[in-house]
Amino acid sequence: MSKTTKWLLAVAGVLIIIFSLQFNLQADDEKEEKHPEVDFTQSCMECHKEVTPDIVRDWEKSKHGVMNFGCYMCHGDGQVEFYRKPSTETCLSCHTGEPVDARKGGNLQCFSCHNGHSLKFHQ
Amino acid sequence: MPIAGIVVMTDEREIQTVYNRLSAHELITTYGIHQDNYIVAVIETDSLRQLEELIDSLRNSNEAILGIYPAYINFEDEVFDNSKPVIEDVQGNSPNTD
Amino acid sequence: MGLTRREFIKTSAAAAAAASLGTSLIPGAASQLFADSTKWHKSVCRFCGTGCGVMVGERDGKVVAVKGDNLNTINKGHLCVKGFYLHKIVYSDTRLKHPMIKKDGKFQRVSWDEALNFVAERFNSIRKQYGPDALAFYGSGQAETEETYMANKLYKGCIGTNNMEGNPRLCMASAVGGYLTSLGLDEPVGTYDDIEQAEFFMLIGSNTAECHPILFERIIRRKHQNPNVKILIIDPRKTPTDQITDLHLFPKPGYDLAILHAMARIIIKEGYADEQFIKENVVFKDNKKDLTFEEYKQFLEKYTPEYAANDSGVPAEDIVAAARMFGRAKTAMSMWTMGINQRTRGVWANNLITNLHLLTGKIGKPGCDSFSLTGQPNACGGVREGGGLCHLLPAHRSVKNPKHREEVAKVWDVPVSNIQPKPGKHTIAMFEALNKGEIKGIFILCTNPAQSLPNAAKYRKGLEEQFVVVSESFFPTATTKYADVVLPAAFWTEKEGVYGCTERRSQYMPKIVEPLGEARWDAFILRDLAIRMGFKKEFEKYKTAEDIWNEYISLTKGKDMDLSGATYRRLKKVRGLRWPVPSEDHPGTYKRYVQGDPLFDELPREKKKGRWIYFYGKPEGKAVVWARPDKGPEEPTDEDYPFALTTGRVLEHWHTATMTGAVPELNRAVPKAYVEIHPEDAKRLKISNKDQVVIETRRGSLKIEARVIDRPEPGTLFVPWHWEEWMINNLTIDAFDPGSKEPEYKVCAARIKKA
Repeated sequence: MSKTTKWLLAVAGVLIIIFSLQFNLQADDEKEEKHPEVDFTQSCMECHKEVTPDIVRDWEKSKHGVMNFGCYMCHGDGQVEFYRKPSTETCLSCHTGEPVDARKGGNLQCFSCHNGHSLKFHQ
Repeated sequence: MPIAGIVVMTDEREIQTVYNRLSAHELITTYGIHQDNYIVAVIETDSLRQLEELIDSLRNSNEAILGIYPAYINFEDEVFDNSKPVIEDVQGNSPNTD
Repeated sequence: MGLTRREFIKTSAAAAAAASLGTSLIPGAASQLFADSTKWHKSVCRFCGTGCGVMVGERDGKVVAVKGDNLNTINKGHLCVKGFYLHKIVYSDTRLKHPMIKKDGKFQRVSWDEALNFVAERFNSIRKQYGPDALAFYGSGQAETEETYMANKLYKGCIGTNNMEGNPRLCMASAVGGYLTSLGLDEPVGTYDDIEQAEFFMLIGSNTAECHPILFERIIRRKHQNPNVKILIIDPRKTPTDQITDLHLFPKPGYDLAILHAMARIIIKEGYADEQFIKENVVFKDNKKDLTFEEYKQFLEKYTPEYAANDSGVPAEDIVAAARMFGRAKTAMSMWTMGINQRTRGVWANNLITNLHLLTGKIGKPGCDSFSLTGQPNACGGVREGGGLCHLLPAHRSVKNPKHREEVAKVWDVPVSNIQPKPGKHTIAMFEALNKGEIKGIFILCTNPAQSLPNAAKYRKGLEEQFVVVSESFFPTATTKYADVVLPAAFWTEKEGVYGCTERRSQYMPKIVEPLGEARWDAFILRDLAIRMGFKKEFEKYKTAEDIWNEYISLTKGKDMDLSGATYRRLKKVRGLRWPVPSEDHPGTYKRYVQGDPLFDELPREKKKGRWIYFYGKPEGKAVVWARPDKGPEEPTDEDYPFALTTGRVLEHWHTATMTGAVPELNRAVPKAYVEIHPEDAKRLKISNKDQVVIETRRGSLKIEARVIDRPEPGTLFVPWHWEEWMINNLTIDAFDPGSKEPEYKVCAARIKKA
C-alpha cells in the first residue's frame, strides 16, 4: 500500500469518527438548546440581572452594553429561537465594516478570541 | 514541503496549555480553539516522514492530547513545479508520490 | 491582498481541518446565509431617519438576511438592533396580502379591481356632492418620495384639494419652521461629517442612544478618540445617552426655552460671541419687529441663570457651565429630535438652539452645525422636500406662491386653477374635520394615526363615521380597524424608490423580491386609483418608478434642493447623494451657504461682498437671531395633576410597533409598556417596582406597570408609546404649535396612583 493511500484511508477513517462525534455533539447541543421555562412577559434582562448578575455586569461594561445590544441579539428570543452558544454568523451582520484578516491570529471564530459578554480578548 | 491541516482533540481543562505549546512550535501554526476541546492547526515539514514523526511525537508527548486527526494534506511541492496552480485535497485525486 | 501561495495552502489546510469539525475559520463561511448562493443588494434601512446603508441578502426569490453596508459612510457597516432584524419583518405573519372591503362589519377579501373601483366611486361621489375639500390624504415619512409625489399630484393637482398631510407634521414640522425662520430654508446646513470634527455636542430633547443609535455610536467614537470632546445633554430624563455625558441639565418638561436664552446671555456677556460673524451675517428680530444687537441684549437681560433656574429647576451654576462649554469649544454641534419639536413652542425652541450657533459663529464651518435629527426614513426626502404637507408643493415650494403653483401645474400637466392657493387642513385640523363630518373620505397611506395621534381616542369618532381607505403592509393595525377598505401595500425590498435622510442625502432602494400575496406598490395603487377616478391622461404615463423620479427631479432643477444630478442611473451606483447636486457630474454638497455649495458659488460677487457664508434664503443673506418669549407647556402641572407626563421611545421598538412587534427577539427584549417613576415619588405614593398603577390625565387613563427608576426627575413620568395595548396617546394632549401645527406629545399634566 502506498503512503498516500495509507494517508487517505487514515483520513477517511478519521472523518467518519469525527462526523459521528459531531452527531453526538449535536445531539447533546439539542438538549441544551432549550431555554428554561420563563415568564415571557418580562424581558431577558429583568430576569438575568438576578440569575446571572456577573454576566449582565460584564455585558453592561462592554461596547455591546453601551449600545444596548441585548441578550436576544446573539441568543435569540428564548421562545422561537434559542442559541446557548451563538454562532459567528450573527456577528457578521454588523461587523462588516472591519473585516477580520484571516491570517492574523489564525483564530477566526469570533467567540474563540472574544469573550461573548465582555467582548474582551481571551488570554 | 508537505502541509497538513489537523484537528487536535484535547482535554477541555488543559486545552489552553496545549494550545500555547502548539503555538510555540516552529513547525505549527494554530487556528483557534473550537467547540471547547478541539484545536485546529497546520503543520509544515520538510518531508512526509518528518510530518508523520511529528504527529506521532505530539500524540505521545502530552496526556491532554486525546487524538490528532489530519484532515488535509498538500504535498504538491514533492511532485509538481510550484508554478502549476494545483491544490489537492484528500477527497480529490491526490497525486501518487510513489 | 498579498496572500502567497504557501499561505493560501496553509489557510486551506486549516479550513479543511476546521470544516471536518463542522465549523469554519472564515467568519460565516460555513453559514448558509453568507454562502455564495446568497445575492447581496445595496439598500437603505427602513427605520429611522439616519439613513443607514444595508445589504439585503436574497436567495431563491426570498429575502434571507440583512447586514450593514460597509461602504456606506453613514453607518460603515454597522446596524442597530432594529435594522438587524429587518429581513424577519418582510415575512411577518401580520403582512396584509389581499385587498379587503368591510361588508356588514367584517372584512371580506375582494379583487384589486373591485377594491379600487369601489374607492374611486366613493371618492368621486363625495367630491361631486361635497366638493374636493371633503376628501383628504394622510401620508407618511416612511413612504418613498415617488409614492408621496403621486399622492400630491392626485390630491393637489387633480382632485383639487390641499387636504394632503403626512405624519412628519407630528415629528418634524417644528424643525422645518425653525430652519425656515432662522436660516431661510429647510434642512440642515451641514451633514453627519461634522460629527467627526466637532469638539462639543449639545444633545437637547434627544435620546440619541436609543433613537439614533448609529449616530450615537459615531459620537462615542469621536469622544473616545478625542477625550477633549465634551458632551452636554439637556433633557428631562436620564437615558442611555448619559453614558457619555459631561454635563446633564434636567429641566422640567417644557421649560427649556429660558435656559437657552440664559445660555445666549452668558455667551455674550462672557465674550464668547463672534462679533464679526454677527455683524456680517445676522439680523435680530422679535415676534413683531426687527431689533438691533443692543436691543436683543436688552431682551436677554431678563434671562439670568437664576431666572432660568427658577423656571426649569436646573441649578443656575449648571446653566452657566453649559453656556461656557458651548462658548469655549472651538466647534459645536447641536442635535435634537422630538423633545424640542413636539411642543407647543417647538419652532421657538428650534430658533433658540440656532441662536447659539449664530451668536458664536459656530455654523457653516466643519464640526459646527445646528443639526435636527429626523425620526422617519423619508420625512426629509418625501414629505419636506417632496411637499407632502397641506401648505407645500414639491421641491420646497408653497401653495400660496402663484409662481410655484404655475411651475408645478405645468409639470403635472394640469390646469393651474386646480391647485388651490390656500393651505389645506393640517393633521390635527384634518382629523377634527373628520370628526365633524367636513371631511367625508380619507386615504391613509403607510401610517397608523389611530395609535399615533395625540389624544387619540377623540379622533376615533371621525375614523368610525367617515369613509376610510388604508393602504398598509401590515394587518391588523389600530387604524385598519376603522377602515372601510384595506389595500395591501408592497413592503421594503418589494418595491424600488428613493429615501432622503436627515443629512440631505437621497439614497436608492432596489426592488429585490416580488411583493407578498397580491400586495402592490403604493405609487401604482395611487396611479390606478387616479385613473379610475377619471385622471387617465394625467397618470397613465407613469410606467416605472424611474418615470416618477425623473419628473420629480425635473421640478428640483435650480431650487435650493436641486436633485437633478441624482438620477436613478447614478443613485444605483453610489451610497446616496447630498443635495444640492445640480448635475450628474456634481459630487453633492457637504455644507450649504458656503464655498462648495453650488448655489453659493453661483452668487454674484457684488451680492456676497467678500462674505464666506451667505444664507441665500434670507434677505441680504442674513440669518435671524430670534428674541422669542419663553413659554412653558400648554398644560402645566397643578394640584390635581401634579406630574408632568412625557412620552418617548425605546431602542428595540419603533413607532407603533407594526414592524418591530413582528420580531420575536425585539418583543422579548421589551415585551410591554411601563411607566418610569422616580423612587422618591414612588415611595411617597407607596408604589413599588412592577406594581400596576393607573395614570390619569384630563383626556384619559391607563393601567400600566410601574418601573421605579431614577431615570425621570421627581415629578416627571415617562411612558414609551409603542404598544396599542397600553396606548399612552389616549392621555397625551393635542394642543399644537401655532406655527408648525405640531402637537405637544412631550408634556402634559398627569396624576398616578396604585391600581
